This record gives sequence, structure tokens and C-alpha cells, in this order.
Amino acid sequence: MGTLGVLLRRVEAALLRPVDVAWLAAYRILFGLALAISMERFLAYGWVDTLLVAPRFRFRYWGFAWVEPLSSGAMHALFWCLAALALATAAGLAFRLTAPLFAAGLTYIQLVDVSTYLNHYYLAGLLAWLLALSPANRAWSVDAWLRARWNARRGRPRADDREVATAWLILFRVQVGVVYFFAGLAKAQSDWLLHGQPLGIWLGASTELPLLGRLFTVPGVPLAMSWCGFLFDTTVVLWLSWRRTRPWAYAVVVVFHVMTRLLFDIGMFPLIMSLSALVFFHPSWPRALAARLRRSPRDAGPPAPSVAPPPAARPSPWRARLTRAALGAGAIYCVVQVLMPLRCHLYGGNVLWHEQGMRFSWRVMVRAKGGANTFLVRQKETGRVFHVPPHEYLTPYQENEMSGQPDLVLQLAHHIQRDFEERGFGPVEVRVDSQVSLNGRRGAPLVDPRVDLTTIEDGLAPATWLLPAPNEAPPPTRPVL
Amino acid sequence: MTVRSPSKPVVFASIAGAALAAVTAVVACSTDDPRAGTGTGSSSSGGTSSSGGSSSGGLDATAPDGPIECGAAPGADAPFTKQALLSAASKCAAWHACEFQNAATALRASVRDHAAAPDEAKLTAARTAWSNAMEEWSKMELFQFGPVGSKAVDQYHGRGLRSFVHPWPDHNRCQVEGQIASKGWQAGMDAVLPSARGLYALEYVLHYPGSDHVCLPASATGQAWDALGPADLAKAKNDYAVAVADNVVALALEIRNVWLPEGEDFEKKLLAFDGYGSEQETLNVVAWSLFYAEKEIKDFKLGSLSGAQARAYVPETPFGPREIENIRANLRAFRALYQGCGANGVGVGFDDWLVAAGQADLANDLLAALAQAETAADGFPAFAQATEAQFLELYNAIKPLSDLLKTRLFGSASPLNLKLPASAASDTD
Repeated sequence: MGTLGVLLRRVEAALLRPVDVAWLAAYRILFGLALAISMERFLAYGWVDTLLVAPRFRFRYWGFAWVEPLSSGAMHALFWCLAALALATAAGLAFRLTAPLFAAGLTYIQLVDVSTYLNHYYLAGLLAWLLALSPANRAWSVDAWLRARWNARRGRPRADDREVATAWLILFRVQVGVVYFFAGLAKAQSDWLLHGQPLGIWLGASTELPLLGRLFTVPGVPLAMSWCGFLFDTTVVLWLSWRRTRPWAYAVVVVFHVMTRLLFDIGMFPLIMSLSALVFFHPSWPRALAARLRRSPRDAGPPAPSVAPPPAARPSPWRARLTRAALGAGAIYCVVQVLMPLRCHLYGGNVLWHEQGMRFSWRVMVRAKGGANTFLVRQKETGRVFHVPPHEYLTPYQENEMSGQPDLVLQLAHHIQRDFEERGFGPVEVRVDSQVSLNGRRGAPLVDPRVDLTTIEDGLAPATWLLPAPNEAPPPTRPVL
Repeated sequence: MTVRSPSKPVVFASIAGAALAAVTAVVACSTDDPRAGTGTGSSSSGGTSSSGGSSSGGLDATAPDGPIECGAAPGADAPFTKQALLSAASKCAAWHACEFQNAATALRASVRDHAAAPDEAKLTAARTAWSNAMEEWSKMELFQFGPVGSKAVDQYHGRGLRSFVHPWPDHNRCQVEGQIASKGWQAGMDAVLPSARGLYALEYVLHYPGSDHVCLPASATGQAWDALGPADLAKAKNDYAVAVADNVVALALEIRNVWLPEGEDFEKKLLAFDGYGSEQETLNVVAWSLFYAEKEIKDFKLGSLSGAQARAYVPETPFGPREIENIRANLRAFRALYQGCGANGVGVGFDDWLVAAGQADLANDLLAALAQAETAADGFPAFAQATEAQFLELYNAIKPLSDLLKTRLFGSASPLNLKLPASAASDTD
């Protein structure tokens, strides 16, 4: 066995080293409850209808055009089912069935319409799948309780339900760490760090807040807050990973996310991230916390279950291969998660402008972008040009989301072409008069108005039909009382 | 390692159930949150009727027969604050409500006068009064929040009185003729559909000289109409005109009383974000009135005539043609709200907010686009005389204004954080 082989064996051994399952069980409970709340929010706020049912036209994900929306009644029923599945996941009830079903349902509702894409919905989907594949029902679950009773009735020894492989801990830490780090890296640009934008714009909506509101209007405060956000995102994983700074770092995490919830409409994201940051604590933190709450140190359990693990029976060859395959899949997943946010560099230019490589890359809260698009439909036979406002096809929410996302503009252009031709206007060309503003800048054309978009197909290649981002700095927009 | 036995499922179920119940309760209670988009939008205090001025905010519902003193248009330069902007918008809306009430009162007087003893001079006077009322209304209706706003736009306090005063584009000639022929209105104006009421009904009666109708001949309306002789028909028209004019005055009074300090004092509600939930949401709703330039003027009034849009055209004033005058008045009111209500745009407006926020360029761009639109409208001929090319020219002159609204003043890029109208509330990022 060569050096590489030895190294891989050591890595494998380290990844398979057992740690207390308590962290994963606690995360399952907390995540399930949070997502149940999230499903309830969609129902209570009427978003099931406004975002998923009402649109007459839907923006499709590349490769998922086959995903169709459900009827209004079925969509509402789905959300109730997802809330129930999230609770079942939290309870660890039939986990191997309920958790994947929940993850699949969550994925489905995100695939219905691209315009509803949000980073934190995407994160919730990823975490739901990771959880569904993990042995998170091994402890503090209905499944474990039933299994224990079953074994007790038959006089079998108790199943070992207190440990999981370290790989699971690393996988979750990588996932959460990637979100924080790349969210920070996305802020390493001049708009954020030199001009304090778009935070300077957004804080203007919160000047009515007691004390804080007036503070936001003080010159320099938005820029200082921008820097704080940048430093927090890029370094918090480091501070959470270091045992001595962890409690303080977590306190900062909570304060940071409470602030973001207070200032922005970012829904469940602060809660999900606050819960997810707990994966950086010692795997036994729930037991320690429970013991501390009961003021009974005897119940705290071992401080470090990773020390001196009991000798395990040698696994069968097929099981060893399966384990290695799973570890390999986990490694690939991590690599993909790291590379996805970096893919925008293949396109060059300003990703906040052209948006190629924008989704799935954790560029959270870094752009105030919107615009006006008028589709110019030209009848090829007569040369007559019709101005088509997007609201003839889209809901206001969709129109707002589409306005700065060129691939969505392209999708609507194709739809308008089909619609006009079906209505008997004959062959048509579709161009776009677009004016898009980024972080308070003067509007500029995003789509080349000379290009007939019916000749363009969406794909992964650089979009030559887009115009470059404006060069000027954003104006110094500031909050006003 | 001490391992405790797994917790019993009932514990999980209880915790989860209690948590969900609590959250559901909290979320349900939160649906009044303006961001939820499901606010109750109640018309709240005052006991006003939303269908036509039966009472108003505890004030006497009887409008005076003569004009009331409205004073000069309110507008004084002052340091910008959001509260000052809300106050300025309120005072401007209230002043226009006062002006419209006077115009409506004058219209009622001339309609009554004509109905009592019809002749050409009185008809001409009534037509002029209608035109004046339409002029004032074309300014008033830009203020689409509070009493004039529909619930679709101002979901918190919108009363939708606009559709009773000026039902365009949902007016319906056959419905008006139905009221004339059947005298259904005598059971009370509340029973009359908005599409058959307001300034449109008066326009029809005062401006349309024909004795034909557009209802199906076999319909009840058609038969009732055909059974009327010329004199009966003329009287039926005038009787209905009087009833409608009375109703328009009642509506005008209701709108004004909502604004009056001794009435509902709607300015106070705006300043306290009463029902709106936040100052920003209040400003959103007030600012959405500016979108009249995009939707109503550019798309509805000009989109089809310019040949730029493939949509059906519904003329705003088909019998007493004053479409371009309406657009001019709309744009004057736009300026009053955007720049300031006083003469030549003096006063606090959204442009002051932009300047205070460091967006002077955008403030000026919008003013320039507005000036371009006004100039084009001022120089435009009567609609009947205009060619499609001229309509397209006017359309293109107004488009930069509406583009700026959507590109920069509202939406995700707004430097003032102004949401797009009727955009579904949701999470971001």
C-alpha cells in the first residue's frame, strides 16, 4: 500500500470514527420544526396561491421543464402534507419514509417556478436531503423508541443508537460553512466594501425603528455595517470551529441573524442558519445542555465520545465498499458545493449584472436590482411592432423577479413568440427594451436590444446577447428619516 | 457513556404539536402584517358607505349647494422627512377632494337646472360643468389611496369609491340605459352597479343625443326602452341624471370627509401608519398612485391607439370627448404628488425624498421625463383628430417616465425601498 493508500485509509478511519449522535438528533428535531413553521407561513400568508398557483406562465429550470404545478387545492394539500412530514421528521417517525418525502416535496415546490428561487429555500432543500439520507433517527426519535421496545420484547440487546460516523458531522459543517463563507466572499466587491451598497439603500426602509433607525442615518453607519457583515460571514465559521471562541461566536450568530430578521424580509433564513450553526458545537452539546438545564452534571454524558471508541467488528466486504462509496459521494458533494459558487468566474464580468452563475452560489443580499422590460414583437410579414408589457403574462412578483434575470427574460421572450404566433400574428421576432438598475445606479440596458431573442437558446455558454455592466460607482444612497 | 432510553414519542408529539399550534397562532395573528399581503384592509372608522355617500364619518352628509372654500393648493417648501411627505400627500389629496366636491356640486346644480326645464343653453352649461367635474376628477383619481383607492391597491384602507365616481374602463352603456328605462335607481343608488353610475352615466345623458340603445332588443331593458316615447325617454334620462349627479356629490362629500380633520382625519392615520403596519408600507401605498402614468395612461389610454399594444381600447370619455384633457390633468396631479402640490410643484414630494437620499440625479431624471410627457400631452390634438403615428409619439413620450418608475423608483432596485404595486409579499434571498 502506497503513501496515498495509507493516507486514504487514515482519512477513512477518521471519517468513520464514531461521535455522539445527539447533535444530529437535535438538529433533526429543530430543523423539522423550523420547516414545519415555514410551510405554515406559506399557507398563512397566502403565498401558496400568489406564488405558486396564480401565475399563468411559469419560468422553468433548465432540464425541469416537465415539472407541472398542481391545482390550487392540491397545492394547499401538499403544503399541509409537507408541514406534517416536517413534524414527522422532527419526531423521527417513520423517518426513512417521511424525511425523503419531505425533501422531495420541498424540492418539487422549488422546481415549479424559477422566479421563486431563494438561496435559503435552496439551502433548506439541501439540508432536508442531507438529513433524509443521514441516520438522524438513531436517537430521540419515535423510530428509536419503537425499535427499543421491539428489541426489549424479544429479549434482544439494545441497538447501539448513540453514535454516528464523523463524516456526517463534517458533511453538515461543510454545508453550513460553505453558505457562510461564500456569502461573505460575495461581499468582497466594491459596491459592498467601498460604497456600503446595497445596505445603504435597504436600511432606509427601517428608519422608523426605535434607536436603530436614527443610527442608520448617521453617515458611515451603512458602510460600517457592510464591513461587519462581510467580516462576520467570512470568518464566523472559523470562530465557531474554535472551541474557545465558539460560545461567543454563536452569540454573535444569534445577534446577527436577529438583526437581519428585524431589518429584512428574509423569512426563516435567520432561524435556519441559527439552528444550523449549532453543528459546529461539540457533538454532545444537547446532552450537556439538557444536563445543565436540569442542573445535574451526572446526566451530562461523556464529554467527548470520540475518545477511545469501542472496537468494532470488521465490516463485511460489501458493506466496506458501500461505506467507501458513500464517503466518496459525500466528498463529491462537498467539492460540488465548493465549486458551484466559483463557476461564475468562468463567465467573467460582473455576476451581479449578468447573473450567469448567480443561483446556487450563496450570493445572499448583495444586490438591489430591478428594471423595466418591454418586449418588442415584430411581425416579420408586415414589419409592425407591438410593445408587450410583461404584466400581460406575469404576476407582479414574477415581473419584478424577471426584470433583472436575463435567462428569465429569454424564457418569456420565447413564450411571447409562441403566444403571438398561436394568436395568428404569423412569424414574429422578439426583442427587449430593458433598463436595469443595480445598487442604485442609473438604469442601463441589460439585454442587447438588437438581438432577436427567438434565435437564442438558453444554455451554459456565456450569453453573448447581454450587454456589459455599467462601470460607474453606485450613487451614495443613504437612509433618511 | 451513560445512555438514556429514547424519549417517548408522546413527548415529541406534544412538543411538536404545541410548537406548531403556537406558531400557527402567531402566524395567523400576523396576517395583518402588511408584508403578508393578506391584511384585512377594513374601512375601519367612520361608518361610511362604500357605495355612495349615505353618511360620512359622523359629519352631516348634506353637501352645501354652493362652493366651499378650498384655498390655494397646499404646498410649502420644508425640510424633507417621511412624515412631511405623508402629510404633504394627504393635504394634496384633501385639497383635490375639496376641488372635486365643488365641481360636483356645480355639476349637480346645472343638471338639476337642465332637468327642470331643458333647453340648449342649460344643456351646454351642464356639459361644461360635467367637463369641469371630469377635469377635477382626473386629478383626484390619481390619489389612489384611502377613500379613492381600490382594495386591490390600498388593501388596508382602500374604499374603492373611485369606481362609483368614474367606472372607466368598466363602464357599461347598456347598464346605464337599463337604469334609465327601468328606473331601477328609484329603489336607491346602492342598487345600481358602478358601471352605470358616476361621471360616465352623466356623460352619456348629457352628451349622447341619440335615442337608440345598445342592449339586446329582446331584453327587458330593450323592450322597456323601446316602449318609451321621445318625451318620456328624455324625461327618464334627465331624472336619472339628477339622481346620478346627487350621488356623485354624495360621493365627493364622502371622499372629502375622510380627509377632513373633523371627519375621519385620514392624514392622521397615514402619519401613524394606522392599519398599514409600518411607515415604509404607508409610503409604498401612497407612492403606488404614481403608477397611474404607467398602467392607466400609457397602457390603457394610449397603448392600443398608438398601435404599440395589442389590446382592446376602451375610451375613457366616449361621448364628451376630452381624453387628452383627462391625460393632461392626470399628469398635473402626478406632478403634484411627485414634486409638490403647490403651484409649479412647490412643496414636499417624492423628488425631495430622492434628493435627501442622495439620488438627485434620479429625482431630476424623473422630473425631466415628466416634463417631456406633459409637453407632449399639452401639444396633442383631440383624440378624434390624432393619427396613429401621433398616438405613438405621445406613447413614446410617456414611456420614459413609466420606465423610470419601474426601473428605479420602484421594485427591487428602488433606492427608496418602494415596492412595486400589488407585488406579492414574500421572503427575499
